[in-house]
Amino acid sequence: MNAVPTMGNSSTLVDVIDRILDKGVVINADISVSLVGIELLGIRIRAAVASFETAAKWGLEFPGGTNLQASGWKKIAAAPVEATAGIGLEGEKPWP
Amino acid sequence: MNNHNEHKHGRYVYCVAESVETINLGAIGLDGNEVYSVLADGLCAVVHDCSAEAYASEDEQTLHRWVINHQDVVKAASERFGTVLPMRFDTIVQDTEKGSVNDNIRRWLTEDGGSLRSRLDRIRGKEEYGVQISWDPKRIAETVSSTDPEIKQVEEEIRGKSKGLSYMYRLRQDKLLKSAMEKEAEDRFKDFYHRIEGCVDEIKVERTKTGEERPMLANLSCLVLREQSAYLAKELEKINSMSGFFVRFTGPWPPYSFVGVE
Amino acid sequence: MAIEIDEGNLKQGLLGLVITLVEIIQDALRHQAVRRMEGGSLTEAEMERLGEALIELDSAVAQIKEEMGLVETVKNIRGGLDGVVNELIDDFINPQKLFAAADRERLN
Repeated sequence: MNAVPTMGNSSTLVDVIDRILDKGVVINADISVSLVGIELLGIRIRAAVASFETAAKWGLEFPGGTNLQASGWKKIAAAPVEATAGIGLEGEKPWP
Repeated sequence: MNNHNEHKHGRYVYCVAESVETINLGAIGLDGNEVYSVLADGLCAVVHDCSAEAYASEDEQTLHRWVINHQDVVKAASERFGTVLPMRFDTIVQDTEKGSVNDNIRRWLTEDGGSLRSRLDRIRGKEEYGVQISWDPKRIAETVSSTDPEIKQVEEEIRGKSKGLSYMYRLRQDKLLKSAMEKEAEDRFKDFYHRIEGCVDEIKVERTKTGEERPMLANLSCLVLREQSAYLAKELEKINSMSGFFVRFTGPWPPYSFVGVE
Repeated sequence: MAIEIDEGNLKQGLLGLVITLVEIIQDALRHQAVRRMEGGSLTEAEMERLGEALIELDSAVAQIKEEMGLVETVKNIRGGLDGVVNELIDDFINPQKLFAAADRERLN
C-alpha cells in the first residue's frame, strides 16, 4: 500500500528525535508538567545522539575523505579551497 | 523535580484520537506502563499513569528507549484509530487545584475540542514523510566549473602565471565558484521544491542539518495522502538518480510536523 | 551549539583558539585581496607580491598547526563556530522558526 522508501538509509534514531522532541501537539502549561525540563532533556538526548553518530561517522567514513582533501590541497599548493566553502560546502573544511 | 510533585498524579499523553469507547492497548508504554484512553466529547487521549514529573534520565540508553517507545505507542494507536494527533515527547498532564488529572484531560479535550478536531481533519488519511536532499559539492563544483564561462576564463588566464599571481587568480576563481554554487543550490532547491510540491498535500521546510556526510540542500517534511505516497517516491527516485544528488526518504511517520498551531 | 575546546588541555585549547582567530583573519585578508584585484587597483607586481605573502602565511599557519598538533582542535572550533553562524543565519532567512518558537513560549 505505502511506497516503501527505497532511497538512502532507513529511519534512524535521529529522525525519530527530530519529530518527537520539537514537534507534535503541546498542551497549555496550566494543566501540564513544566516543559522547561523537557527542553533541557531534548538537548541532552540530542547531544548524546549527536556525539554517538559523530563518533561513528568519523570512525567509519570521514578520515579517508578528509585526508584526501588535505593532500589535494597541498598538491594544488596555492589554491585555497576555502573560498569555495559557500552554501553546502561548509561540511568540508579544507584547512591544510 | 519538585518534591511536592511526586504526590500529584500525572498522565503521560501519547496522542489524541476521535473515539467513543475506552480502549486498552496493553503494557506497551514507557517502562512497560499500561496504555489506555481517557474519553471526553468524542475525543480521547491515549495515556499511561505516572507521577507528575517529567521523564528525565542521565542514562543515554534510557532516553533513547523512551523516545523510540513513544513513537511505537503512537504508531500502535494510529493502527487502532486510523488518524491520531501525536503529542510531543514528555507531555504530562497533572493534578491541579482546578481538578484531578483525569478532569484536566477531559477539560482539555472539551475546551480545545474544536482546535483538536480541525487539526485531525487536516491530517486525516494522510501520512508524513521526511525528505532530505543532499549533494556532493565536489562533483557539482566540477560541473559548474566546466560550464561557467567566467570561471573557465580565469582558468585560461592562470596558465603560465607565476606562483603568486596564480594564487591570486585562484582566489578570484574560488569566489566565482562560490557564488555559482550558491546560485546552483538555490535553483536546485526551487526546482526540487516545486517538483515535490506537485506530489504532496503540504510541505514544511525544515532547517537543514550540518555535519552530515554530505551537505544538505533541502530538509522537507511532506504531508501525503496515504494512497498517493507512490507519486512522491517516484519523483524522489528521479531526483536521486541525478548525478551528484542524494535523497533520503523516511516514513511513513505520524504527521508530527503538521499538528502544531499554525 | 557548545564550542568544545579540548577541556583536558587548556594550553592546547588556547593555542587552538589563537590559531583559529589567525585563520579567520586570513580569510578576511584573502577576501580583501580579491576585492582589490577585482577593483583593478593592483598592479601585476603588487598582485604577485600579495599572492606570495598569502602563500607564505598559509604554509606558516599549516606548519604551526601540524607541529603543535592543533589540526583537529582548530577544525572543531571552526566547526562549532560555523554551526553557531549557520543557525543564526537560518533564523534570519527562516522567520517561521522564530514564530514557532514564539508560539511555543506563548503556549508554555
